[in-house]
Amino acid sequence: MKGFVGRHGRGVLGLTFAALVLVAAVAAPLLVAHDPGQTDFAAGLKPPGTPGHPLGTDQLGRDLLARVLYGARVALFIGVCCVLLTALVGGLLGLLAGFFEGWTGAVLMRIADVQLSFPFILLALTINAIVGLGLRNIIVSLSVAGWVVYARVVRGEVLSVKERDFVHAAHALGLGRARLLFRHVLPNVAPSIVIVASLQFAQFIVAEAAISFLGFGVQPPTPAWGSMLSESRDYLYVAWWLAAFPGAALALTALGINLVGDWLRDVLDPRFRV
Amino acid sequence: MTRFARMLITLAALLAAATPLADPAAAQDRARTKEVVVAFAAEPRTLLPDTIVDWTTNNMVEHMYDRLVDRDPKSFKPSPMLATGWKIVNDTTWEFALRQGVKFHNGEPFNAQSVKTTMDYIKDPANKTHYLPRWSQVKEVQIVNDYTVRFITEKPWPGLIDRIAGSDFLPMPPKALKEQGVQALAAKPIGTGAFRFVQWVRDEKLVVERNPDYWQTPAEASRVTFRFIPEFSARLAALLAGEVDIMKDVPPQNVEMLQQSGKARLRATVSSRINYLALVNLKPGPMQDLRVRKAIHHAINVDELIQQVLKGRATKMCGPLSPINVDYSSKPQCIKYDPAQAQALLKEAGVDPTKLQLTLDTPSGRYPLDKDVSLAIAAQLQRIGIKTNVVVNEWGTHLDKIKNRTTGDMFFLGWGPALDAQNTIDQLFSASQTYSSYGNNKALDAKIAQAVVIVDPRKRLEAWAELQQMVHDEVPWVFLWQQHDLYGVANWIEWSPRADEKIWMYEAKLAR
Repeated sequence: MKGFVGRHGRGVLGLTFAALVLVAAVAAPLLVAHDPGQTDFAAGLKPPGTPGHPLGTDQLGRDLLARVLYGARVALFIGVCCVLLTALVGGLLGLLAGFFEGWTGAVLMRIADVQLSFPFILLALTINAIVGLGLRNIIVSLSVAGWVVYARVVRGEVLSVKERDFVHAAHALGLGRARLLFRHVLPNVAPSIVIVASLQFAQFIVAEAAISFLGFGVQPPTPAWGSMLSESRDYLYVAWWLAAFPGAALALTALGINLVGDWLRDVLDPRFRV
Repeated sequence: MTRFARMLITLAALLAAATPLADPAAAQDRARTKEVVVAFAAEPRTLLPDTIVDWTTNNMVEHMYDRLVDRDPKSFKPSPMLATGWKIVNDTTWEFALRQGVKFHNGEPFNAQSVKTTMDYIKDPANKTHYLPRWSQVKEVQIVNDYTVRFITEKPWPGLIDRIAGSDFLPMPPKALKEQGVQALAAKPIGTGAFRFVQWVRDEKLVVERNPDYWQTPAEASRVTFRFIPEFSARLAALLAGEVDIMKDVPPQNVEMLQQSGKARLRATVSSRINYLALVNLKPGPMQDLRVRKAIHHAINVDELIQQVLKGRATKMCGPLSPINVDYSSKPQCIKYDPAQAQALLKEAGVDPTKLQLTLDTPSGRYPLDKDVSLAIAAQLQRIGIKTNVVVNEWGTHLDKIKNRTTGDMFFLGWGPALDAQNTIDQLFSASQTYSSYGNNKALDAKIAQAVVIVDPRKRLEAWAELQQMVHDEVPWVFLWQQHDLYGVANWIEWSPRADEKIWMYEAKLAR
């Protein structure tokens, strides 16, 4: 039992956090009576504990609990979309680059290198400035900036996997390239994709919050944690709760998902498998 | 990456405010040596006078350059400054008598040549000044003698005195301009003003010092430093930490805290700057229809916005001009908040409000609670079923979108100092003007062209009154309010804000 806690304690904790956030996101309409966009100017800036508003209200009288919960929806939606997109595109390109080492691989990896030389958040911001504001565009910009990690990791894995005996054996048996790639190589690099995805997931959520904080990304009145934090600055002196709760939600989510990612790495990484 | 810089500044300022370690002696030292620090949201876009139309830039430039004609801060009437008097010689000629014994900071005398040189500078297309179109009605400046000049206009232009009273004409030194060139003057301003240029550290501060040879009593402040802090809350933090002495736009919700701080006081004034929500008809969309524009106006509860969002810190307007405008007419009646009427008008126009999707462009941080007001307006429109997307723009982007006519169906903007009719009605309701949102109304265009050249003051007032009613009936805007400017002023400084938003430290009286 002690061994389980030692080995899986972080995973359980992380999964608990992640599950909490997931429940908040999915069940938001059931958990709060208020609509996150519903304003009541006369009831603005009420502190936490106000009847009907457990976390208080913002400057326009919107229920903060509702906004934080619906914010979880936005965060998770963006996170999931970005992870799926980048895993698909980055994973595929990594597979190809690793499997076809010739000029295909070289070109793909040089593109990846160039892109890696820019800081992730700066690149995402730049792309966002080009494609414009809004939910869809923030997903596009984060994905375009984020696929490289998969490509590099997957390529590295493929390079080693494809030299393994079973691959050579399959090749000798006359299997087609596509079948070889997707049937024999892909399953062996899948754990890496899952691990990278779980770590990237949190990074995307935090990056989205950062970009929305700067005023790009998700636009009001859509409740996003980043823009809520940004709006709270003007009220920091009089309403600490505007910054505290979205900030805590963001931290909790990122922590939870990262713990899950770490745990997955430990469990899935063959080197740790006894 | 100025946004990153801004974040860092905010953080630094908040930290400074939070720690008792923030040097408390600094403010006392400055009080002793009479050094005032003023916080602006941005740095000047140039130090050349008569070049860029920008409130922030002019506020700093006018510490070093005097105006030819000032405005009385109470009555808003033109008042003497470098010009001691003026008269209309004939329909197309204004004559100005100039102050004698005034010297530029380099010792050069101020005289008629200086006024002529300044107009020539503005009129030279190579200088690309924003003021060129604003002076297009003036043909030339003629020198009568050393201290008398005449402004010759193409057509009668009685509004010239309103144009000249303010930031539109700041005399430049002719000899320095000729010998050193424009670039040198941009790097080291030489004016006749109460303060002399010392240093400009980009992105950080601009420093000026008292001009002991000023033509009036020299200023009390020995030195003025302008610091650039973009955010309201960061400016307020800096004020409370004693790092700056004067800041503009205290957020209404922080007023109480400021007053209880014991370090600074609130100085409020009703501003000449007006805020409005443009209902854009210069691009295709539902706002082409007068009934829809009217319906939108009826759907928005301006009183509620003022009371609840701005905490009463604004004065409601019912037409395009505010009561302190010299051409104001009280005739236009307020368009009332009336959701039922709004629904009826939309039905008449064949628009289903629940299917109507509008876009509202807003700046953030430029005007008091601009973004919050825009969000509140969107929420009010939601009440009758209209969905409004609020797009929050960076300040520069916002202006570009308005200039390029690429905003949404509505945008939020402030306009000022709005003290005469021409500057608002001619500039904002003709399709040809930069910042217009409404236009292509032939009757209105013709009437404006008529009004601008009327010389008789009474007839002129009547024409502008009629125009205000015409504009009002077209509902080109949701008429909102006059801003109340809230300044935070350190206790050791006695200074009253002006309605024209000039933060001019010559007017500051210092304790001790």
